Amino acid sequence: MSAAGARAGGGARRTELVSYAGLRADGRRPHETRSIRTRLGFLRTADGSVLFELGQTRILAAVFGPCESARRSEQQHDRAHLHVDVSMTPFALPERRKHRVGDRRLAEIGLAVRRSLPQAVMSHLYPRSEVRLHLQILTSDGGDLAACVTAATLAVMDAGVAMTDFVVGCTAAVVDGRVLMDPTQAEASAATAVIHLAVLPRSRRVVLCQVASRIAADELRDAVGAASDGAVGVFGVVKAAVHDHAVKRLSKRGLLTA
Amino acid sequence: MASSAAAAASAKAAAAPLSVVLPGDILGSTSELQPGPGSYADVDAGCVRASRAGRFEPLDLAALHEADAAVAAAGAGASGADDDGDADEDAAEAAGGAAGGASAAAGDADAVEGTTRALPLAIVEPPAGRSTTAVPAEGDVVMARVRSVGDRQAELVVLVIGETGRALRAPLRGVVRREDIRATDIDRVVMLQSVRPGDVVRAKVLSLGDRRSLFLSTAEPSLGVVWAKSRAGHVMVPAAHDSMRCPVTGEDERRKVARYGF
Repeated sequence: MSAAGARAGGGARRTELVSYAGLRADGRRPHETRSIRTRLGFLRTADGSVLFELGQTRILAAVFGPCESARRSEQQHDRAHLHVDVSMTPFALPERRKHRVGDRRLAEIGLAVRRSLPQAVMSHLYPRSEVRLHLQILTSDGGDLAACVTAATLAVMDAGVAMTDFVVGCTAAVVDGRVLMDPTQAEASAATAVIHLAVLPRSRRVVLCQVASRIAADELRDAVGAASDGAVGVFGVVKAAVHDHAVKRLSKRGLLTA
Repeated sequence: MASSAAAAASAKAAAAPLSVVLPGDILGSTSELQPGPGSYADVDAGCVRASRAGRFEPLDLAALHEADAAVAAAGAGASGADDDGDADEDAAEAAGGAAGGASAAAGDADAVEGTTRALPLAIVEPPAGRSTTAVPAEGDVVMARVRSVGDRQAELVVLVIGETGRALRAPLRGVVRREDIRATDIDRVVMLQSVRPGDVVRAKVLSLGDRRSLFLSTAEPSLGVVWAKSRAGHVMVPAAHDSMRCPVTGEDERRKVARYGF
């Protein structure tokens, strides 16, 4: 209904992202994130894994390690080396296309994860070892970077690697001076600016802030604030998921009988 | 979740209930708790926080040492007062868990060293119950299969770190040099009379070695060959410190035998 309304009301502008009723094409309000689903321990073969869904965006994250580095050249004597690679399925985008490993967009996501995750991973506890993190974007509908950061945190946590806190990603888009939280691909491509944020939710410390276009200073402040709020919201959901998973695993081992 | 964490933080460390905590959750203040496996001290905030998801249980080491006998008694007869008995059993259980997870989480506990005050130790038992590190340290005992034997050294593939650890996902290479085969008469060691390709050897990590392989040693009575097949292809039994016997052909073969498990 809201989608129809948006289209009907958009006589003057073809891309009316927020309807007169204040709703977006998928029925969300501007400051609402999409629904999140997580399945921790999704893969049997990995040490830690998660299937993370943010609306239509689906990320599969798998962690192997900590183990002895496969490549000695990457070994660091005082901490673990975090190896990240990001791939995308051919069916991830509306148009079927094979994505090369060296895809610039994927490399950028990998770099963002590599930069933000060590802020919370206690890698000094695993000297000379390696943590291999594989992220696969199964389907993409905006917010890939933020979803990858959150999924990476969950998978690393599932592998039992020590972390000081969660690292949670959230995206915000600025459209006509208005901030839309967690934009879909359609909203992001119509926006004047998109802000990617990674936050340590307990301290609200921003560990990654990425903006690819020009943006007014006050708009940036609003957008960062909104994305930070969004990240705290996401934190609430993923925290519950990790807790439930831990309870399930512990009671399976008979450690929660009391 | 937040409520359970808050409950854990506010409750007295000794009497805290079993609770599931998540990375970053506050377990208690640094004045009443010291960080153990699965936790860390947040110096800025003055608190101990969890570093992994799992079951949080404070372990009162001082009380445990004092009441060692009392715990045993409480375990044998449950005639004591309900509350006390339960608390002791929990403590004993935590001690068992700590011993089991000690090697796995030794790295996490590096902050513990130095503080010798008898504060309760925060332990977060991981839900998966598996080792979190699979990198050997100096002095670790490993099980390794011999890959090739040369004049000066034998090359091995490390299969397991520790006695009963989980198998390594990625093979780890090690070498035993001729002078590290045995402790005595080391100038007259003949490599092929000590180990042969295919043997399984119990060895100790001397050093993390060069970039390619670990340096291992079998120069102790409990180290050496623990499993080997004879020339005829049968699993041999130890006959002496330097020989093993084929149970089928009765033939003796020379090995540096580990006095281990018999």
